[in-house]
Amino acid sequence: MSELPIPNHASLPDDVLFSVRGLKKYFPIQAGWLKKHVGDVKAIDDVSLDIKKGETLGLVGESGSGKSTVARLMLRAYDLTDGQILFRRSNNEIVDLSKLTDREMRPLRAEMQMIFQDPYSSLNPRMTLLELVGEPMVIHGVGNAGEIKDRVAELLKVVGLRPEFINRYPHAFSGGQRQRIGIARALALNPSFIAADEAVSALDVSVAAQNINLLQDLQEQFGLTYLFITHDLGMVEHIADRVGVMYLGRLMEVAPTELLFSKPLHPYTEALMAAVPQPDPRGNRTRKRVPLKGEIANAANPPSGCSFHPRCPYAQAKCSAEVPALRTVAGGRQVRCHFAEELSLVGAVA
Amino acid sequence: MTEQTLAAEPINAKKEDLYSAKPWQLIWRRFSKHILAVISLWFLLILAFCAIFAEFVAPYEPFKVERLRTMAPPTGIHLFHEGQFVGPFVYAMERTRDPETTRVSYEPDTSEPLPIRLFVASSDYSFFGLFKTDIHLFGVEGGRRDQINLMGTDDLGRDVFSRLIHGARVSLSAGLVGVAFAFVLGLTLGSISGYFGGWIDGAIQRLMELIRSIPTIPLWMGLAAALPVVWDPLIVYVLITFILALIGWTYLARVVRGQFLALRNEDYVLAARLSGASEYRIITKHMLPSMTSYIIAALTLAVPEMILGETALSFLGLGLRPPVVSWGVLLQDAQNLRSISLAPWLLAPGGAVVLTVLAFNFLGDGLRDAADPYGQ
Ligand SMILES: Nc1ncnc2c1ncn2[C@@H]1O[C@H](COP(=O)(O)OP(=O)(O)O)[C@@H](O)[C@H]1O
Ligand code: SF4
Ligand SMILES: [Mg+2]
Repeated sequence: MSELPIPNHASLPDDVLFSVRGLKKYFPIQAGWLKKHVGDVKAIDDVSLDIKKGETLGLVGESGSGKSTVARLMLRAYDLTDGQILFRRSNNEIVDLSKLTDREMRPLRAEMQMIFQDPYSSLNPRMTLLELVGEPMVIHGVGNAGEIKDRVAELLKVVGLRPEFINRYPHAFSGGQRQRIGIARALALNPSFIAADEAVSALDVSVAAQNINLLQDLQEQFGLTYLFITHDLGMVEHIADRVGVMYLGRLMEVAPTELLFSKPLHPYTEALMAAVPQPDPRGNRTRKRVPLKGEIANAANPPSGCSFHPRCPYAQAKCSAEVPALRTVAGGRQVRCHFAEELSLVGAVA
Repeated sequence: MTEQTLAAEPINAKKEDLYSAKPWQLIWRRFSKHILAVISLWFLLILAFCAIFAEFVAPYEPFKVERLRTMAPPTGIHLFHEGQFVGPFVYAMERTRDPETTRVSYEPDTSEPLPIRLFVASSDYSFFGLFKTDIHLFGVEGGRRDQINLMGTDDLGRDVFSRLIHGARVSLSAGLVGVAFAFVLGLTLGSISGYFGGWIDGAIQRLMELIRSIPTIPLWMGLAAALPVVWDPLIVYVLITFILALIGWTYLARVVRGQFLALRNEDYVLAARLSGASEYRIITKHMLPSMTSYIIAALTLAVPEMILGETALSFLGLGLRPPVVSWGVLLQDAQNLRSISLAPWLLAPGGAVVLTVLAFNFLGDGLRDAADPYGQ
């Protein structure tokens, strides 16, 4: 099922921080008076990927393709339906998170954090910055009140907010500033891994750029590893070292960023890139829209064979009959298409 | 880039106040903009004071029969006696009987003013069992027949105002106790429903719909009629409030459940969980604090329903019965055509019910609007 060999507990390549194998998440569909189980939304179906220490792995795909669910499963916000999630702790111990109960997960949460999309709903409006940013320390019993206060002030400085604001409530801040508060909270316990789920999608372009720069500075400063989720290909090209392309709960392609943009191997990747506005020769940006035809399919009832086949311009008979596997092809890239080698696709960098 | 943000605007003390205002301060700020709600709050506070200290506020005992002062209209309050300002006073009433119709009528005896005094000595009462006293908030000094009846008297000569104040104690507390029962039921079932979801939620939802689909008056009547007449009035009172609560909890449960469902999906709850917070911490630190203002608003809005329920039941003779004095009981007393045409002041408890119900509704609306000071 999974293309990567499943390691036993102690073995994960030295440079790998997170390794996800054969991940599945089905959300039950309930109907009727007593919430009878009538089917499943296959939000994640067989996702395997490695994240290396210190890298930024981008995850792209249309809305509903399962990006957020992958991040939430990795951080064990949800129980998984199937699969393995191997994580390298800071002491180099390797743990399979999929086996842990909520309670057993708690001490590990210090090492992995999340930054959210919505800068409004992700901060409790009834808590001051001190309470918000200090909460992880309170929970993990790190330091006394004075130490927590000092640390929060320091964290605020780190993310570019004035420490004098420590007694303010979030409603005093703009969206971009709130996002920084969320970043400070995520940094509170010195995590090694941060999942940023559409972390700047809700912000204005210039504010988003500032916050992206901040994230990059922090990565350098603290040696962080990022899972960077976005539907904005331009953003991912700027920040990611490698990119995974998701469609309907499956990874369609994984490749180093430059290679992916210069030579996509999957028709879905090509279609996503074609929809991105290209800078035109005269320098002003125009939108050359070659939209994807059709809509993302229903995850409760995915198409047979290759789940992309109803929208794929290169689809052939085999595509609706056989599910393509995520294969490793020349150059160590991975792709889930029967005809990856035969097709010659156009990337974003012409 | 970091420097640029750090060097931002100088701190402005007034703004800082707003930025670090506690949630309840923001809620109060918002609430105080609702004039009607603030007025209602004051009205209810005064009413509550009167109800709690009914013996002190009421000038007369609620059961004191005055054979020679039956069906007296509200006493007029005057300020000028023979063209001279003497402060608030009343005139004694001369009782006459029309020999033909035998109808009683009252004429003011304008020879001498009876000044209204504060803290006058009149009938004895025990102050919450602590000590005995005879001081009342206001009254007139003079003979037994020199009375001030702000809302007239009934057919036994009892002071309607005094009875109304004593009735407020029973009616308001029935509303509050009923809401307290409903609160326990609604909070328990609503949070079970919202927290566990699934078939438990489905079952509780169906039960709530069933209860809400039953017409309330016949249901109340059925339940209340099952209470034996001979029972102690206190037990009847508790049971009546419980019956009201059995129906009233569904509204509260719906609010609580809705809040639970909405908050479960807030990112900040997920953030807390991903920081390792226990369920207990999430519920007490993150969910309950944002729910309390909504719950208080919902509770406030549930009180009038209870008061109306008590009034309706007692009015129909199925709820509280004399000698207990409640607004419903008083209205039942006034329940004949003769009193409506001859002594319309006997309907004053009806006015009290209307005002109180309106006040609770305005207050609840104001609280509900202020409950989330962060929303737009
Ligand atoms: N809690 C949930 N319950 C049921 N279905 C869900 C839930 N969360 C996500 N889904 C479904 O899973 C699929 C993937 O969602 P998501 O991971 O949010 O996608 P993305 O982040 O790429 O937009 C969607 O079809 C969505 O409807
Ligand atoms: S497998 Fe077939 S349908 Fe799927 S992407 Fe490749 S060519 Fe298109
Ligand atoms: Mg998402």
